[in-house]
Amino acid sequence: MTLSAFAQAVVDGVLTGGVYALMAAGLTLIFGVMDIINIAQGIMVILGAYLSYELSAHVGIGLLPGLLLTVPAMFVLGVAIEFGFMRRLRDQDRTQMSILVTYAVAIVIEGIVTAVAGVDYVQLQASYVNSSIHMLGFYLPDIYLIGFGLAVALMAGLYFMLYRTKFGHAVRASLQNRTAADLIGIDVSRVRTISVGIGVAVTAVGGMVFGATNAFNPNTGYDLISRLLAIVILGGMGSIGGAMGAAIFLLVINDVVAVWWSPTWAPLVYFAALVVVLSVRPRGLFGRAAVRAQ
Amino acid sequence: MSPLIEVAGVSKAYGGVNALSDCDLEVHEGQVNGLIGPNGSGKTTLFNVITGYERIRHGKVSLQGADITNTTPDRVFGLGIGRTFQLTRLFMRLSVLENMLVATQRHEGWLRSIVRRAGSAQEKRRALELLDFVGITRLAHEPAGNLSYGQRKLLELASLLVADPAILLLDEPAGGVNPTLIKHLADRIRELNRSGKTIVVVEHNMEFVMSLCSRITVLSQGRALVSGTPAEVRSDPAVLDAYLGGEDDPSTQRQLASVAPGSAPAATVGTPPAASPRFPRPSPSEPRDDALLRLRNVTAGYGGGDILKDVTLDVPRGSITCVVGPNGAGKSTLMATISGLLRPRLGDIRFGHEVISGRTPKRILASGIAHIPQAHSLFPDMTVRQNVEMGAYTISDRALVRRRLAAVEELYPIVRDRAHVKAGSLSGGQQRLIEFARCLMLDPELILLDEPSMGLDPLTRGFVFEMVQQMNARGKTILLVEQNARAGLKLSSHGVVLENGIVRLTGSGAEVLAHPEIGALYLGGAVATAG
Repeated sequence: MTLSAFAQAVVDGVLTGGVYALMAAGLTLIFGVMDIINIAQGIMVILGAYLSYELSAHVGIGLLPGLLLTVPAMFVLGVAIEFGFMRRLRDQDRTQMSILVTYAVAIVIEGIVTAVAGVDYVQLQASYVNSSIHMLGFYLPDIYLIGFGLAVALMAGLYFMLYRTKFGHAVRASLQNRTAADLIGIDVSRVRTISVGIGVAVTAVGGMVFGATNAFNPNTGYDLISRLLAIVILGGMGSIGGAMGAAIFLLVINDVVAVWWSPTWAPLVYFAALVVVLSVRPRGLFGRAAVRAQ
Repeated sequence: MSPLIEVAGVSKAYGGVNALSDCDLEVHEGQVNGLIGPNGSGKTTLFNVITGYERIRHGKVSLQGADITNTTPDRVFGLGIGRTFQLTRLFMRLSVLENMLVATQRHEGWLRSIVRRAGSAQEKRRALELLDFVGITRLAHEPAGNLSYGQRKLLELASLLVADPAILLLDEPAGGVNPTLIKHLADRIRELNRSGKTIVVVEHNMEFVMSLCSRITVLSQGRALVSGTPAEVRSDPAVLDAYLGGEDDPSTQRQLASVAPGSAPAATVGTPPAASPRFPRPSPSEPRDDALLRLRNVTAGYGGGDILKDVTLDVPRGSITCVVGPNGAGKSTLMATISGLLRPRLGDIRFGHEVISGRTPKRILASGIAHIPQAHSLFPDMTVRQNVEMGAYTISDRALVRRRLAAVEELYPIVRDRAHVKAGSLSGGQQRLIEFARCLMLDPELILLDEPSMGLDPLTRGFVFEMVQQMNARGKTILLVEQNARAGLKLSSHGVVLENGIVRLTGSGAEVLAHPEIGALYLGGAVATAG
């Protein structure tokens, strides 16, 4: 492999990592706030992609303007799922049970999407999906640049929300000490519901970018969720910055292996990297135990 | 005779706090050994060290002279040391008998355990014998989840006996168990002891320990304070000090010691109820005009059991009212019930003229009651300023928040000086001040303060108590729960003694402090009066 191919693979990995971070951000947020592992996050990304697809292919609303509709729609879905399923889980076995419950939710969503859209692979189309710019000797596909830009913007937005707004303080307070949060008058249940809504809403953006860079069908959600979980675990569960770092780390490895060795080996190395890192740093790359200490 | 188990010089720290420091323990063969001590004195940690659930770097644990320091739990079990846990660990959906049969598989090879049929006739017979021994045979086919708390403790004991360990470590076997079952449990433990088993019991129920054990070790702050017979332990003034809290000012201690039993002070009101001859009943519920908070016949608890039983008490306006009582008396539950974290099952709670029982914590907070729970109630990863501002979460008037913040900074300069430091990095005493500051942001009328001195050294504790008095001087009524009974009562205008969820005694702080039965309450039976 030449040095330039290697460098191109690294750049691709960073850009793709941004897209994956976008998809994983909601997963890590929901875990952080609710202690819930949302297995349905993968299919929700695909649902977001299908919503974008329907809007662009059949209604004529472009991918980017379409987000103004798909993001609120996914927010409502998230709130409904929290209300209907997640808040009913008991505290003591919430995390384990959430895997079963959200897996069931994933199957239901997958079934509905399959019934409506069928199982054929589709891909989102727009003028910027297949174009790229040539810069500093690298080919940078426009859609990846847009996706990376959206990822950075959304991550910054989530970060701002969590660390600078009153709502964000309420989220962090309920996360760090539930009893104390109750005792200063925070409506912890409502804070959690809205947080899940936000966590699902960002998948609409992730779904749009994923759908524009990959062909997908309703089954794609399952392959996706395993990759997203790997990112969230590696980044330290509940850490948004960690998800960004871990996504870029894993996708760079993935892309370099794909170019240097073979695309067949890329997924194996992707998950092997997770195992290797966790055996050295069980909390993940950026996880801090103290944040969640009571 | 050399001890069966010997623990020598064991130290164990968690994040800077010493759970055990240079702790010694001797367990003698064929005896029922008791291990007592106030909350956080390291009893369970010591069990964990002996049974290999905690690893240590300093000290030594030996069994019959052989070093077993840092041996893994399964090996310790294999050496014949079995233990139960404070909270029972059973399979709630399996039947009682199935729980017993699961226990039979623990001590054989895994390979054999997967090829062999579960529950041979012989194992079932043995399991039923043990259930019969503890007296729950009739429940054999009930799911373990249907058992009462006490019955679960019995089942856990039975399942431990399956492996026939020579030494039994029992962690609070009587905790949360009703009196009839406690007696039964004590009988069973005596029977086991007669059949040759050595037993170590950690327990807060003093009557249980004192009547059962032949030898008792008292732990205090991670160290073995005293070892001896129940009579020796009970008559040792250092033990009472460990429970009631060290005294900074020796005069009160003399005062406490000099009150002879029988010279009932003014706190005694009403007639003693039949159920509890030791304690006079508190004054019945004539409403007091000066009461800010009134509880009437309040019963509350978590899950199946009642922790507070028919509690009636008044908190006078402008007072510092201190609630004391041994571990598990229901002090924190009382606070949680008032602040709405827990809904009372029966009775009502009035704040001024409003009935507040049944309201959400948010509404109770809005009516003017702030609750500062036991240690670690800050948001550790937020800054000091953010923590204090969170206290005003329910206020939308920003100008008001700024005014309150300025006032709080005036009162506690640390809020300004360490504004941008993460709250989790402050010392215990500083954290307590930030908790006070956060709660003052809403300018509450009544402050529920749960063990503000927990984990503080005496000097800091004195400072925190001064701050409590300062809040009181500024017009706040304070309901205080305090493990350090002497220090808490000395600070307070009013005292309440809670035991097993029942109000045993009320009076002024000094009256309660001077009451001769207060020592007995903590240590069970007669209290030392030698001065």
